Parts: sequence; structure tokens; C-alpha cells
Amino acid sequence: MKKNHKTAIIFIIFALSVVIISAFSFMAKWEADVIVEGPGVTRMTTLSNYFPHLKGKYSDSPIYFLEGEEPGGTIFILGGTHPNEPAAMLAAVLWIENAVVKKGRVIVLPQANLSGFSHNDPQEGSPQYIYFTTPSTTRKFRYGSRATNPIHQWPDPDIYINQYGQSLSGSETRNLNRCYPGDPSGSYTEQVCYGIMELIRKENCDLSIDLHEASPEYPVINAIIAHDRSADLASMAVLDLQMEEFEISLELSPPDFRGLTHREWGDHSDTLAILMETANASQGRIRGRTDEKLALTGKDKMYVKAAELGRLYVPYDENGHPIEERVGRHLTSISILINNFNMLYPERSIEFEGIPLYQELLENGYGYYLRNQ
Amino acid sequence: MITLIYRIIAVCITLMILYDIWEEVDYWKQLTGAIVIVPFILRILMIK
Repeated sequence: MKKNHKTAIIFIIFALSVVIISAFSFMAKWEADVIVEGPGVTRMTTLSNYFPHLKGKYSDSPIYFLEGEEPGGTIFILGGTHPNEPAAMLAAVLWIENAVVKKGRVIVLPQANLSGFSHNDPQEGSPQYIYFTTPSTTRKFRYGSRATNPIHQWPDPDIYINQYGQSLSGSETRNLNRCYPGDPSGSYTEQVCYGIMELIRKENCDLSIDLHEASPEYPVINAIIAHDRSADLASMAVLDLQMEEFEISLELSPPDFRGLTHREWGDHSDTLAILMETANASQGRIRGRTDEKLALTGKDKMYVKAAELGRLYVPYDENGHPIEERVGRHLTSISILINNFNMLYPERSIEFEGIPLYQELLENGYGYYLRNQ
Repeated sequence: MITLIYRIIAVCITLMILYDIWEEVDYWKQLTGAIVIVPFILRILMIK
């Protein structure tokens, strides 16, 4: 055998070895996260219950119902639209594992883009998992990608033209929050959006909240973004939050920016649509080393430097923005939104308990509120 | 349908690179080819 043929065989075996070893790592991320049903969960279903075409597909996300004994309104909490924004999913998980609804219903979908949790964005160096120490064990959750996994939707077009004729970068075809109101015969991601819209319509959700995070250099951050019909409610909530010394702003959903929840949920259903953002350094472009610590603490000297240069839209120092602060902001904002909703619509009020206060979350840590598996 | 077409394209490219690795006499180029086919194989198998 020629010498170069011998080396060819060696290098091909090397390549196959890399494929096998890396395949185990990539396929491990397909395994579902454990979310423990708390005392308030009355039933579970999946997204295919609202759009049967999703049955058997990876994105058939679990949905948790927390129903009170007294009838009232219905709140929908959506986390995990972007799986690289952990506080959004974790706030929804904390609701599932702790809240008890006394009156009305709260529907929680913690991992909206389940496909996005099954992979990481190439070349971002993101952690695959984040871990929390609970009183008795360790729990882990996947840290995913902003978009649908290409193994579920491939190829991307060069340009994504949404149903309103707006042109976006081709990869945005896999961004859940650009594909609303969805299309039952559209792409994989558009079908998931359609399923979520069907849930909102069929369950007659009075108030629907989409949880997010944003990079500290992004102008729409630490904010509530409201559809036109939600503006009054959102204004009242922002005032209440500011009185509790939360720095938060109100943004109105631009009517010409199509495809996002704060626009399409409100335009295509009767729900009051709200989207909320907190600060997440691990998805920013100025960040240094990207690891679990950055995702959970937000501590990054590059962002501190950027803050000193006045380049950020949130205060930033060596303390970062820990996950407890970000989850706490979402939980507090949800509670205040519900309180104000109850004031505006007393006949459709929602009463609940079991959600920790902001200071309690900061003192005890997020893991304290996770249940044993 | 288009996904199937892209997978077939990826298979064709992988086979061409394997042929190049086999015929190439420069070891560094052989190694480069071996590195290049890793993501192609993972995408053909729809793992990554």
C-alpha cells in the first residue's frame, strides 16, 4: 500500500473517532430537562393538543396548568422562546414548581422553542448546561441556542420573508420570536408559533407574558414591551415596579415590527400581550469568556469596562447581574402585572401564592426553590 | 424535500473529500480534509 494511502486511512479513522465522540455530546443535549410538578400543577398537556401536526416532533413542548378552585381569569406565561436566555425559562420553572393558584388559571409553557434547547450556537463557546444546588441535590438545565436546531429545520434561506413581506436575515427563519402568528403549513418554527397562538386562542388567555433576556448593550432592556391594548396595564405595572425601586422602562410594540409576540399575540387573539426583558451578559457581544459562571452571575470585566465608557443600557459593575436578580425581576413583574390586571378586570381576577419575594430569592438563591426530582 | 436535497449534496461533497484524502500526498492536506469532513458527517446523520 502506498504511504499516502496508509496516512489517509489513519486520518479518516481519526475523523470518524471525532464524529463518534462529539456525537455522544451533541445527542446528550437531546435529553429533556427535568421539571418537577409542584403542588399547584393540576394537569399537563403538550403543544400538539392545540396543533396535532406537532405530535411526535421534538418541539411538542410540555405545558403545565395551575388551576384554582375558584373560577377567574387565565394568565399565560411563556419561557424559553430563546434558550440562551436562561432567566426566562427559569422563572417559568419556578412558577411550575412552587406556585399554587387559588382563583383563576395560570398556564405555563417553560420551554417554548424546545428544539433550541437541543443544541448550542456554533462558535459561541456557550455552556451546554447550568447547574443549581438545591437543599438536597443538584439540578441541571440545558443552556441552548437562540434558534431552532438546524437538524429540525434546514436549510436556511438567504433571506427570510415573513408573511407580512418583511425581509429578515435568513437565520431568523429559526427564531421563534420572528415567526408569529405562525403558519400551520409553514416551516417547523412557524408551526410551533401557530401551536402557541392556538393555545392562547383556545384557552382564552386574558393576559399572555413572554419572558426574555437581552444583552446589556441592547437598548430594549430591563423593559416591559406592551401591545396597544396592554399599554394601560403595562403603564400601571411599570409605575408600581419603579415605586419598588426597580429600574424598568415601558416600550410600546411598534405596529410595523411584525412577527414578535408583543405584536402578533395581541393582533391575532383577544389576549393582552406583554414581553419582558432582563440583562444577560452571556448572550452579549462584548463578553469575555463564556461559561456557566457568566450565565449565572453576569460578572464580566469587559462589560464593566463598557459601562465605564457609557456603552451600555443597564448599570454594570463587578457584581454583574446574577440569575437570582434576573429571575426575581421577572417574577416580581409578573406578580405586579397580575395585581394590576385584577384591579382593571376584577371579574377575571387571578389569585396565587408560593412565589418567593425578590429579596427572598436573592438571599436564598435560585436552587433553594427547586424540588427534588 | 429541500432538506433531502441538501443532505444528498453533503454526501456528494463528503465523498469527494474522501477521494481527495485518498489521492493526496501532502499529509497536512490529508489532515485538513479529515477535519473538514467531521461536520459534514454530523450533518448528514442529522446529529449537529
